[in-house]
Amino acid sequence: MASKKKQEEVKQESAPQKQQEAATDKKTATKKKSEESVKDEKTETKKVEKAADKKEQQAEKTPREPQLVTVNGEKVTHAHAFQSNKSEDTWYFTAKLDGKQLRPMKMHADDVAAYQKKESSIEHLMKTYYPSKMEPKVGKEQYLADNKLSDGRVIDKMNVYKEKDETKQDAGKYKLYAVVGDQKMSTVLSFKDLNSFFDRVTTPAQLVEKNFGEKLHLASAYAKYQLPEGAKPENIRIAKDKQTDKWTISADLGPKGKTEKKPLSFDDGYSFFTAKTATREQLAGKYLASDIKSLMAPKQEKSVSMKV
Amino acid sequence: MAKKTYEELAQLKQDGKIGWKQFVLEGDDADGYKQWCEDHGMEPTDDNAELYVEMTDERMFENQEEQ
Repeated sequence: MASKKKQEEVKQESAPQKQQEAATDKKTATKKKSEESVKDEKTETKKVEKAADKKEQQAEKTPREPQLVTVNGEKVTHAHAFQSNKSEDTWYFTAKLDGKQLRPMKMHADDVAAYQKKESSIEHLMKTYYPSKMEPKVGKEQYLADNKLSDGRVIDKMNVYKEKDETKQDAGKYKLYAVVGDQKMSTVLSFKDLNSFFDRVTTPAQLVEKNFGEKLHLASAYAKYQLPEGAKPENIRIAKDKQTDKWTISADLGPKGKTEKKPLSFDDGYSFFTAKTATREQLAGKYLASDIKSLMAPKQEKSVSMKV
Repeated sequence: MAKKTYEELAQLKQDGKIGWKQFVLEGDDADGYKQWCEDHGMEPTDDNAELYVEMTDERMFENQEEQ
């Protein structure tokens, strides 16, 4: 019995103790909870801060929205103009293409003025200063395969190089060199052609045909020339000059007058007489266009006025 | 062999100890250059390496501006 009481006492004692313990537990739990919640809050704050940091970092890492996407799917970013360190009148335009910095290009004065007034578009500036970046690229296979000229001849060799010979007038300029059969040719490349080659928006056949068409006596080279307006094929005369023994071209426009005799180049003579890839009309267009135009223009009558 | 920095390569090029081809092939854009050569059906040469550098390296522009 006594032991039972003891047990009950223990039980009774234990109840408040338990309550106390429970309270303590609760307190601890609450404390823990509040500590945890503070911890949680801290963690949450840290998390938010971290997320914000991450977001910032991501924003830094996230590529900029492109200002333009080219026909080749390349993204134009960071397009802007800037003033030269050396001369305040000199401005350059540059941009990044798929994250790669393009070499700055010197701007024309009118483009600088338009840029400063915010009147120019990125598309216009890109087309002006990086024209070949805005044109569709030729496929690699197509580029390598296109080495046949319009007359069927094959380009045996073609390369682009910088003229190193300081004694030459074109020293320091990039030139196109080509070998077709036994013909070896070189000429200074225009800015447009150099960039077209570099960016592969042209093919070897197109480059050689454009730059050496007349040297190769290709019909395509003469297609751009037309008989000047007002002249007829029968007005054009190609004859050997007795004094110089050279072939010349001239036009006799009857009452309008005659043009001077212009000596034909060897290649044009060859294209006309032997290859028959150039016509009389086309050669007149090449050599006599301005002369014929001035002869055809209505003459201003000299008026003599007298003060009475 | 340790990779040379751009400045070291530029100095070697300026001193005439290396050509344009080596300058590009030992630089950061060697892969881009090799790809460009392959796309054009060309072997790397000093001539085409010089053109590649002039057309792509913006530091060439900075040097040009400083001159």
